[in-house]
Amino acid sequence: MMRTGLLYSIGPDDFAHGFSYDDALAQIELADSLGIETVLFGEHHGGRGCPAVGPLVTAASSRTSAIRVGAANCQVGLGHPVSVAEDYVVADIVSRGRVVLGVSPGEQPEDFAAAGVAWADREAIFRESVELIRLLWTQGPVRYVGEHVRFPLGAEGEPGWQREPFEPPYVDQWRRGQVIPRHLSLTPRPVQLPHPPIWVTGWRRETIEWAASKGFGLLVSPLETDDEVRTKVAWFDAALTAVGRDRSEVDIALARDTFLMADGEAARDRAAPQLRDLVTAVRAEMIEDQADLEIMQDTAVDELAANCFLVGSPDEMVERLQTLRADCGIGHLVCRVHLPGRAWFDTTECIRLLASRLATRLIA
Amino acid sequence: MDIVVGPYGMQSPHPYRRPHVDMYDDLVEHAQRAEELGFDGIALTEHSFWYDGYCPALLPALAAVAQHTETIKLMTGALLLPQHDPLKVAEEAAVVDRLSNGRLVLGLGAGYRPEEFLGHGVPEGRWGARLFEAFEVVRLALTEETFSFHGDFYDYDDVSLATRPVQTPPDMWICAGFADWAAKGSGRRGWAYCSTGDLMGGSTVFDTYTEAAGRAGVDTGVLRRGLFRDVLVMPSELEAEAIVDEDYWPALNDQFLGFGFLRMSNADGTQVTELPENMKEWYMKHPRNPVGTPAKVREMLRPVLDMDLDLLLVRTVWANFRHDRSLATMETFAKEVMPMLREGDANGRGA
Repeated sequence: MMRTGLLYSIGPDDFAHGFSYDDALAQIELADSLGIETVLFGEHHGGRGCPAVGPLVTAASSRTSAIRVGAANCQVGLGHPVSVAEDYVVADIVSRGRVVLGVSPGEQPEDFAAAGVAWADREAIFRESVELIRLLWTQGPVRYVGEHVRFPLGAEGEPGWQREPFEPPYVDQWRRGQVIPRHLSLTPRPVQLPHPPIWVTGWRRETIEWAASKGFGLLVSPLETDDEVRTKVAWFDAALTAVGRDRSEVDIALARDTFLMADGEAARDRAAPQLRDLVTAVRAEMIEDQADLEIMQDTAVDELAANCFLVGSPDEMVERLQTLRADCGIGHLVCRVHLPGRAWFDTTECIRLLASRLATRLIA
Repeated sequence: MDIVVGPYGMQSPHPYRRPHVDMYDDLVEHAQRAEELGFDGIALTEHSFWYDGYCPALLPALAAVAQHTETIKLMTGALLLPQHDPLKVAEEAAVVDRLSNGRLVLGLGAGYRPEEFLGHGVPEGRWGARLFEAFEVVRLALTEETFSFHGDFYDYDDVSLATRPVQTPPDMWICAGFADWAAKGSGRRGWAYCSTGDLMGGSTVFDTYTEAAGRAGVDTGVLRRGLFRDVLVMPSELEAEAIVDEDYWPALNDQFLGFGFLRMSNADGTQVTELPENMKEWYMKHPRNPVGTPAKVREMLRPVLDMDLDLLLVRTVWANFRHDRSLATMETFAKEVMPMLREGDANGRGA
């Protein structure tokens, strides 16, 4: 089963074309009413995305009733993991349990420089942060001792986490006053049990294997070609098997730049300028983790349109997606249907086709 | 003078548990009703790691309220800035300002509970100094195309926020009780200052604020004064007393003890677990906390009209109030007390 969703990366490049957050939210309301199942927002600190996705997630959820809402690539290492856990707890409550948290180890060295976080440590900080977020969402009072992250600050002892040991007498929390804590409990609690899904996105094999070994989901970015998707999912599956975990406990999601029209040829013509801009921007921001990707080579945009982007008519896409689903069991397809400069009507038409012509055939 | 209702804490305290999912829905209804009743804004307040689920993330919550309101200002009152990364706060604020079409008001406070600082990875101590530095970082990030800042706690070189807020400059306030350092520090910098008023509810804090600005050579014309008041207005004294006993005081009792407002210890150094006997009477009769009939509340609030205020933050709701009762207290305030405030407001548009 492949569920259909949307991905929005909205930033100053869209504002320059007169496309606002409110416009995106209106499209998401339409998608919700048509039965699209997920919408994720992309984090980007430059022109092509939103620097702080949490408010968009609550805003979208408060305007919709069924669609799952979340972050595609929250870069938890740029801030403090507790703040991320808190933002998305509030979002999970406002949405009555519809939140997905996609997390990323980091994407641009200058963002880390601005935040004062060492780029070289990003992966280690990311792993500890994501572990802590899951602990805070699922456990009562805890202590966490990592190499980079300690919770609460000053926590000492064995590396790893520990529940608060009970020491009588019991004192109600509202009678404890100001205390120097050794263990703390995040409040309020998420609505979803055991916790909102956490999807890991990243380009390094080690990141993907770590995600599998810890039982987190996988979100493959829109930059990979279909063959690269197969490779990545194979890495993930192998790591799952190695620790004795089962596919049923994790989600696998795939993001794609998508442009559908009833006439496939027309779709390719119409999408070409925005896709060219996208490829130029992506190549300009390439980091070392992405150097081997086909999209970073001199591959022509036409070629990428055939094996990376989903551009054409719904009929043309079905077989490709069904093969991909059969090969690697993708559970969620997350389509970026808006790019800077794309006409409003084109995007809403694409959402309608996605819901009426593609989702129906992928869900079966 | 802007009249802002709140702050709402989104609490589910032990004497009156409620599902948080319902409370956030009710908040939207409150904001819509406040807009209809003529309030200028609605405020939320945050604390972390408090057992009753106090809201720990104001900006995402306000983003949801923004979707269902048109004109009402959305205030953080207060966001405890030193407990967060100021650059992250600035980014999130820019997004919420865009989502609300320029209605965000950032009230920024320091916080005081050790567990909140340590839980967010911030060392204890020098909270006021951290607040002023972080405030400047947020201000620069939201005002300047590119900014640098070098302080004791924060360092930034040539940082730019690509996603800009709607409002320039941003509407920002220092929110800090009645501590001397806050009044002086805000005055010296010419920043807007929201206070509880001094210990007995008077306006000497604002004198301190204005004097500090004058001494620092700041144009006192740019100063903005905000005042926070807990107000309980009921149709009759009898009803007010009943609400105080059943709802209002039990909530405050928790806040005083659990939040360690009083910082009182027993002889052996352990935390006190019961409030002094006379505390309730002292607090409920305090001039800072108008409680009673509309006529009495109007009388008690009249002195604030002489304080040259730009902002009056009125909390008409406590954590233990039922949803319908909180709507009713807000409505009574709007209909019975607000007209007097509008008429007497020297900084306003009149009733």
